[in-house]
Amino acid sequence: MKTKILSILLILSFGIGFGCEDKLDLPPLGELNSETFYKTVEDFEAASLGPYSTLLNFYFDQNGQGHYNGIEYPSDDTRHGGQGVNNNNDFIWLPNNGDFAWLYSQSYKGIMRANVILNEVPNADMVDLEKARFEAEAKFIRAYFYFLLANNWGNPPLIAELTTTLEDAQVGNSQPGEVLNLVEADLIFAKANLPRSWTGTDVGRATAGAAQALLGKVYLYREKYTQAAVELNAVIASGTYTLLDNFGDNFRESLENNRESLFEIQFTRGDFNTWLPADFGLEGNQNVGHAGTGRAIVFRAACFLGICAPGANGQGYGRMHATKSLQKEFEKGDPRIISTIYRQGDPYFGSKFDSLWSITGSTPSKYLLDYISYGQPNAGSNNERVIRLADVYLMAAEAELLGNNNLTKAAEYVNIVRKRADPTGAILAPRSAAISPDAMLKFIMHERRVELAFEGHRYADLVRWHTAGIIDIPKDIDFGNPGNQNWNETYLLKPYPQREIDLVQILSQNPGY
Amino acid sequence: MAALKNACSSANHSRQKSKFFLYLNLNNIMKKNILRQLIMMSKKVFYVFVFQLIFCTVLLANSGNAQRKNIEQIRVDLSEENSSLLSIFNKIERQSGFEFTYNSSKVNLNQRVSVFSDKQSVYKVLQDVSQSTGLRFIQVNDNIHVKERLTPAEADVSIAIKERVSVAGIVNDSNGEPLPGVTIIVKGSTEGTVTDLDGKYQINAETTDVLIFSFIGFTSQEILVGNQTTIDIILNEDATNLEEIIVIGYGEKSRKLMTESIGTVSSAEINKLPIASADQALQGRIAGVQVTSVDGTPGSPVSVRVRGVGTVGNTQPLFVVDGVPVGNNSSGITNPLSTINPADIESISVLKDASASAVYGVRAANGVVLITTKRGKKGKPTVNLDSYYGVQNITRIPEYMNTNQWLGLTQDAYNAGNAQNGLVPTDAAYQVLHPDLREGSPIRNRNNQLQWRDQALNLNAPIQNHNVSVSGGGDNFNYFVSGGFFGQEATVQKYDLKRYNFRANSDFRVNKRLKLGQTFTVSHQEILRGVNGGGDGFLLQSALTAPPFFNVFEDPSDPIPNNRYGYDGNNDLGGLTIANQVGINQIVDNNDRLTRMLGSVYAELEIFKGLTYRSVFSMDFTTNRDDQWRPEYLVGEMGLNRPGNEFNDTRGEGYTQVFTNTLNYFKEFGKHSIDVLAGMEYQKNRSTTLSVRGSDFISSSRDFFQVVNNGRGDPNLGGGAGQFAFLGYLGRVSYNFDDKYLLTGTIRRDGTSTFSPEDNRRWGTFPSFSGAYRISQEEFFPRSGIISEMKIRGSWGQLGNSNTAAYPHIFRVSTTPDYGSGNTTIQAPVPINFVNRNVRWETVETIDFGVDLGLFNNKVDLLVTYYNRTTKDFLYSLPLPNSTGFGSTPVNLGRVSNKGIEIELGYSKTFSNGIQLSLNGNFTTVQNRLEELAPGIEEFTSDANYRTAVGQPIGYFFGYKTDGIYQTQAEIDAIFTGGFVDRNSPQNPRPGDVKFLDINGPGADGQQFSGEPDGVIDFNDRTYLGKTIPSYFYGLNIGLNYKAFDLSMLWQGVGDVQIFNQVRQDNLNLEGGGRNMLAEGLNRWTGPGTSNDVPRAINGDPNQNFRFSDKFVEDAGFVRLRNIQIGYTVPKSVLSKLEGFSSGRIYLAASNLLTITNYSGMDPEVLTFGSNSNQIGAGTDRGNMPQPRIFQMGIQLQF
Repeated sequence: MKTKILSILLILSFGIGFGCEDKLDLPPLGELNSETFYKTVEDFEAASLGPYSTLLNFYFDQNGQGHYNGIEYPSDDTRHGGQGVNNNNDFIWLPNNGDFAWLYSQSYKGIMRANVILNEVPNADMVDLEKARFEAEAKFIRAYFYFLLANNWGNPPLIAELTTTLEDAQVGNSQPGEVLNLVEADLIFAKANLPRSWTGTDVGRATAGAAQALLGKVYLYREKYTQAAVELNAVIASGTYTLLDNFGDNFRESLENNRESLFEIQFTRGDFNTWLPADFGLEGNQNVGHAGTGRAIVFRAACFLGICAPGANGQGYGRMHATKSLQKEFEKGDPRIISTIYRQGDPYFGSKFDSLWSITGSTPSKYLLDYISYGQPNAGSNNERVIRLADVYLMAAEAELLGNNNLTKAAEYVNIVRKRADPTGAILAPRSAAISPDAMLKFIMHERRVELAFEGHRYADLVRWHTAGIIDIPKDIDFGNPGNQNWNETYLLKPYPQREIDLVQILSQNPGY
Repeated sequence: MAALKNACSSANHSRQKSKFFLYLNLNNIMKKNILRQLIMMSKKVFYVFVFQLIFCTVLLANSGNAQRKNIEQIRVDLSEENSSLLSIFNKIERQSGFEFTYNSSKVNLNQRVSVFSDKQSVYKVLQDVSQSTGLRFIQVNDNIHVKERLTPAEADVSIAIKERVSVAGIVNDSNGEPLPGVTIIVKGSTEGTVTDLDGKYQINAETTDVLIFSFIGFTSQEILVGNQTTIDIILNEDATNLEEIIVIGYGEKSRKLMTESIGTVSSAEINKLPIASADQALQGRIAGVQVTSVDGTPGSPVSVRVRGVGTVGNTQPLFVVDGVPVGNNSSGITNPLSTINPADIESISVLKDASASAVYGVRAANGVVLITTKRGKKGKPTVNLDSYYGVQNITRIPEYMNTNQWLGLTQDAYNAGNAQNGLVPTDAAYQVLHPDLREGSPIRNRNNQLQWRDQALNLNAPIQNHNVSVSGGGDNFNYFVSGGFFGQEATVQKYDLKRYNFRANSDFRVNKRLKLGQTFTVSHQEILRGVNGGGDGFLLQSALTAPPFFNVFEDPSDPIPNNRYGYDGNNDLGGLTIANQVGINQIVDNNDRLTRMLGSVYAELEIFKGLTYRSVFSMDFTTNRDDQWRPEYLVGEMGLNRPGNEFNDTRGEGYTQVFTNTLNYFKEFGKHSIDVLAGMEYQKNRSTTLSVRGSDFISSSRDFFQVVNNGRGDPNLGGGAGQFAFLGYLGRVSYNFDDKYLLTGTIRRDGTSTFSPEDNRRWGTFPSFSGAYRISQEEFFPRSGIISEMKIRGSWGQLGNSNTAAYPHIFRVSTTPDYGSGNTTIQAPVPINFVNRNVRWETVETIDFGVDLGLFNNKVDLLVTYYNRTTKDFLYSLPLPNSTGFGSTPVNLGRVSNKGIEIELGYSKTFSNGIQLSLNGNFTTVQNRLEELAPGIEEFTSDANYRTAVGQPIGYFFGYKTDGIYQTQAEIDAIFTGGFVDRNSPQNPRPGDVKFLDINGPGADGQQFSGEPDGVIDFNDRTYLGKTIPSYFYGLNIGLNYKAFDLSMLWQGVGDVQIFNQVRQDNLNLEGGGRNMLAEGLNRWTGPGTSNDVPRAINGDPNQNFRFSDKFVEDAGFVRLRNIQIGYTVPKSVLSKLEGFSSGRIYLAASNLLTITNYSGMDPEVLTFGSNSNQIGAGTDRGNMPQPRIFQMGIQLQF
């Protein structure tokens, strides 16, 4: 009898086995997906930060991979710390350059994330006003990344939709101007649909002013000076932004997102490993990686030939040094110098700065002065100022000069910046409008260099001025050796990463690489 | 004799098809031991004897008749007056027990005879009868032959009984275990007996008789009786025997009836090796199976490649333990095999062709490895003890520079760099030696490079293994219980693996038709280590490359203030600060623990004769806890700043359920037999992880900080979860005609949760067929030729592989990363995968044919097989252009083929002087080729140094070709004219730089390359430099036995394979000033004619001399004496004095004693760390731990 019951049970179990086809419907765990997400305003409040988060990846480690290495070192303001040749610094630029590849891949990652938002917004359960706002935010970030790509690579692939097929992944070089046209269109939309300011935890999101200023910058880079002047003047005239009284306050962590600032990359020091990029471990859904900025390490004084600054870690810290030519660029007594570079005898974290600590005698102090560096790791959360009003004034001055030949306006804007730096005017006398346009342009270029040193503008400025015929880099610019020896017009653009060239058959390398 | 043996063997295999053999089959009873196991298994053992009686009757005519008397001793009472001869015979038979035998046509049984006897002997009676009838009588044993008396010279009555002695003894196998059922026959007669359950026998024989001991699967032995009354015999397994029983998917089969390609390894072979994991036992044993250890770290993963590489994803086979699929082993910690005690393994079968593995269709594309654990045998409990201890060392460590050599190199490199870049001492970039290193500095007298090496090494690292098992059984049950301990330290400092295993297997026969059983195993593994990850070769590597003037320990005459650990951080010494990994390794604690429980229960029911139903449910539960303690250390102490201590605790658990139901029907009709299997299998896996970090603990005592929330710093939480499921339906039909024509057809339909349910992409159907023809069974086949056994076989089939990133069809959104908004950290959910809805099964199609030969009366076994595996729509993680925003996506694309030949040769012979020799060799060729890719994709890279392209093997090395060193500027100027440039060398090469070759250029439309030099050295000039899949590999196993001694050797080798020696690329870059360089750099170019091999020293390497080129791709073929072993079996005479012991053996062994190779690194057997399961990027040597040389001593006891 028992056997019979058992037999029946066994045979029944066989049948049960055949009923479990639906048991294959197992969703991924611990993740959202397109069917459960991108529906509500709350979803988009969170998702809209995805594109912004990519910005953090540029700054994540002590090497400043990407931004400092790829954007700042090529300029004539900075010298890489170690002795000998530094490829980025000295124009030995090869397609296998990891720093450039990182900038490239992270920029497109940000663009992809923006494209996803743009893709999903129309289907969401939101009112049009909300839709427009999220679309505008995504377009702002997309424009930011495309502008960076166009400046550094010329005519990079243009991808304005989320890539969903392998065929669509094969995108070659864009037509000249095509990328920047999209940037302009995105920024025009963003300008119209973003709020003037944010409150609470939304502070730090893109604003109409940021979009307008960036649009002005794009026009300026494209030599559309009159249009640039319109946008930049409008930002100034909006009254939303005013210069801080003290130049140095712009770089204090306690004064982030202040009234001079139009757009900043928002670093917060979370609980995670600040040495890793924000996206690290994403595939495995690991909760690691939360990028602060490695500026505290990159900018700090370290050691030179065995003479070490306090707290220096061999040559692990102190990679960036201010070139002699930048040191000389400051007018004698320019008060801004103390908030820009350390020189012999300057107060330095409780001691005096010794020029023997640096290969050039000086290291950056911008963002570092009075900065409370975290013990471990040495990464900070002081925001990166991407666009601030002083930059807008100087761009506006340039646009007024080159577009409208308005020397008066140019001088007025330059003098506003100078006056903030030296309210007395005793050291930095106001520039006169009664000079030649060339002389005014030189003043503007000087002012940009000292006002905005280490903020990532210098090499891009040199490239656009060279391209516009305003300067001749080999003649006018001193990178030091072997940079001077190596520079040629190839280096107006960066090489496409070798991996990209290998994978996209129709992508042509930039000339000279 | 031969005819007799044949009769018996066919009887045996008929038995195997009988009903109770079926359940035994399903019980995974193994191979050669099947008969032995059978007999102890249950009361069914008697049926075995019945069968043996039926089929081998003649052998059993005369056993157990010790007290035979002759006709003179037996007396009878008779009073017959004119009785018939027949009735007199009958009466004598009744009283005496003798039996008359006669030819009734010659003897008139009706003649009348009168006989009177009053207790007279039979002899006397027969004498009387002889007088009156003229017949004569001869007693032969119990018979009395009646014959005509032809001449008066013939005795009327005679006794033909010869002088016989009683002989008894025990027959054991080579492991000292008794062999029941061994046939013992007197040579030239039909007399014989068989051994009982304890292997005992008794037989009467004449002193001049020769006894033949034979048993299926063992080499027969002939012994002259002589004066011996006790003859104990050890029968050795017959290596070439075709009768062995092979475990196949959901069943088992006799080797000679196989239509499939299956390779096996037995417990005897496994037990001899000092291995941490069973997959290592496959190394060098089976044709078509290539096993490579990732490195020599204890418990490190192993790569197993069955017949080449069919896919670019996970290419590990499926591992099945006692019928439960446990997955593809892909990492050392989670390796499912690492938790199975090798000593518990009865056998391993590797299913190589489609037909064999088709029943595992779902994940069988890379082959299937079936592992069967031991089960008990009927009889009193048998205890086995098995223990070894060994020491391990690294045999080969490359030389690095001393301080003077390092300084010379650095000065040269600086000088060259300054000169080439036009730098003068006032330039910021002008390079000079650091003040610490200038003339007169005491640091120049430090030569610590050997101290660094020695402090990293763990000399004579112990390895040990201890096992005990008890097994036995009764009529209706059996059990096997074991416990084991395995411990191994790494050959570098602080890496200590300990593993404990427990197992209980049992079977219960409830009644005639129902049987239940279970397996259960628990294992616990702990690895205590410092910073060493799995690839702790990196500790040795970082120690070897520490600048030679760095101190390992603090200088007692110049102590570092507040140093807590005694090590030296060498902070900014000579301009360098490099973490003291030797020191950090000692103060950091990592503790990886893994506990695994794998249990299954089965029930088996015979519904009616021939039809058996079996249901198995299994649960594989794992839990792991890895914790990491890092105390505070500062740059002065360790060369690295880690303020504040930290403790991370990560835990995970996961389970896999498998539910299998099969119906098996077996039927014989005449010469036909069929075997049908149908079933379903459901498998589900689920896992979760949780991690917590504490920091800034007041106390650095483990007792304190292991409670994470004692930390005062921010906690950091992490977690994850995953799941997947498979569902499969399987069917198999085998047909056998007269053991001559054999056919098998299999089909499996599988579904997986990995793929999209749309368009049925989730499901795949995989059929296969195989057939074999045993020509030697034919009447016409010559019996006397050198070929004694011949079978031709072939198979075709399709298999599936779904091994890829799960859920490629779902647009997945992760809640990380975060962004700072309003000074708060906020989740910023982003998509994490490039969606590909079309991903489906990869299909592997295999064609396989071969011939199995038994030569010289099966003394030599020869198997030759040709195989051709083609993978269609193979699953590849396609690298995506970064412009998509993603890195890669799974796709089905293209076709890969693996073709080759497998040869297996076995030979065994027992020489007349008693030496037994066995040889087993295997040789495999693999030709791997990517046949095609998806349209529009011609060639692509995934890693800068590896490429996968049509017409080439998967994952080949891709880089620049070189042609020596430029000796003079004139030589360079001759080439670098007319626009000739090297894009990687903007300043153009200088004398002493490597000469890279311009061999190719960009192609016209639709062509990637022109194939012609184009005057530009750039990425187009990168080309094929070597491959990571060997063209051939082989193994040779040699066994020698003489009396109590045994010797075995296992040789193993691979050929025509290359390795990227990244250690050499990194440590020969000759830029100076940093980490220590290989001493090979001393041969560098210093002027025309000084070297055409090692370039000049120059800082910054402006010519990119150390770009990836053929200079660093080296031949990595090798032949290795994997294991050699000498054993001594203690004679019975000694053991019998030690009460309780039944057998004992001691042995000495050495592993990796000898390696013959041209490879310049530490070990040619190397895989890129972390990529044992994947062929892309499989051959990079980053300084992984080499395989240690192990000397080992062991003992095996039974009582």
